[in-house]
Amino acid sequence: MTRRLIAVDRIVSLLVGLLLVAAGLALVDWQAGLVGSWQDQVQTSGYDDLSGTAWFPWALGAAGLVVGLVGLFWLLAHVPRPRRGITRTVEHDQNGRVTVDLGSLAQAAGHQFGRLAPVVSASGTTRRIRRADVVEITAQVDLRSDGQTLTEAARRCRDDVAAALPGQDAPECRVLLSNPRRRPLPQTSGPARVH
Amino acid sequence: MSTPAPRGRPRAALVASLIALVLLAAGVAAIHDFLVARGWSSGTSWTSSAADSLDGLQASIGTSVTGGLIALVGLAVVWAAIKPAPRTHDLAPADGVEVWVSRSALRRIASDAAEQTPAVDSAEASVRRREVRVKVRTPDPTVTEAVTQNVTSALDGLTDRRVSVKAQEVSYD
Repeated sequence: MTRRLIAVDRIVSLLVGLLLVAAGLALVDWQAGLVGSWQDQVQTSGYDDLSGTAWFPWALGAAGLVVGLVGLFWLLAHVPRPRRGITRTVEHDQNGRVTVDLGSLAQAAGHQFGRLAPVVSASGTTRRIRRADVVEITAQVDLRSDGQTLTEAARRCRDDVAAALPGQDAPECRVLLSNPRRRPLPQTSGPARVH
Repeated sequence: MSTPAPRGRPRAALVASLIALVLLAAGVAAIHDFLVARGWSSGTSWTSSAADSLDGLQASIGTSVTGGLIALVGLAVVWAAIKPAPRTHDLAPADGVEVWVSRSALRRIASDAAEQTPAVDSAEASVRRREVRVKVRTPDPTVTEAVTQNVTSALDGLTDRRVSVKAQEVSYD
């Protein structure tokens, strides 16, 4: 989700929320009569007159098309999309240039982290955070995970990423450790516990 | 300097998706009524039917209750709109490297470390703001020190939280 989409979501939700609060309170006040003066009953004859005019169905259809399309595109904007790859030019001269796909580098770093640390799974991806390239490794902790091994593996991966781009500003490297959604089955090959 | 904390989806995104669905439904209803009005589709106009059903409606307890419910829903929507996206991970205090750990991962590591302590039957950990609490079931209540040591060692470099262990004695007689 982009920051712009989140901002739009928040602003529209806030406006709709305030509108609902105002409408709800107005409906309560309709019976209580504490603040405003309201008609005794709802009359929709005005709408009947309006819907009888020649132009109204066209206006309704056009408005429906616009509103429906806005709803559809807004909904589709929330569907997660694959991230665009980030590349970096590491060398160039009159014969051409060498470009590194940071996504491949991140995948390799994720794979390396999975090899070095006791985790169920690990993967790497690239993100742009505050206009900086970030290699993000996501890993699920395992039964044997411990802080020392995990942080040491993270250090090794950070150094490997920096070494892959010599003479360049190395991208930030961060590791996100989570719990696997499903607890793996207990290991049967481990030593028996004796009380 | 570390990158900003990883966050989940804000509640506003869910509310916005529901509003988008409502807009889509309203658009479909309006186009349906347009087709009906032009005689290109059979049936009755949905908006006219809705207007007819509201015609003559008077204020009552029912309308007040409905209004109250709508206002409550509105408040919930306002809260969702302004509520920050939830932080999914906390920054680990590891030196020179950026490691973020979710609370459930800390819980998992702590409970697994406690369970691997000899004489511990089972363990359950919970992560609080400043503390990792571990409850162990054991036939030997003096095991708490060993469990604390194991859990502290397993969490080293991942969190600064204090580790507290409570033992519940179980007997196999």
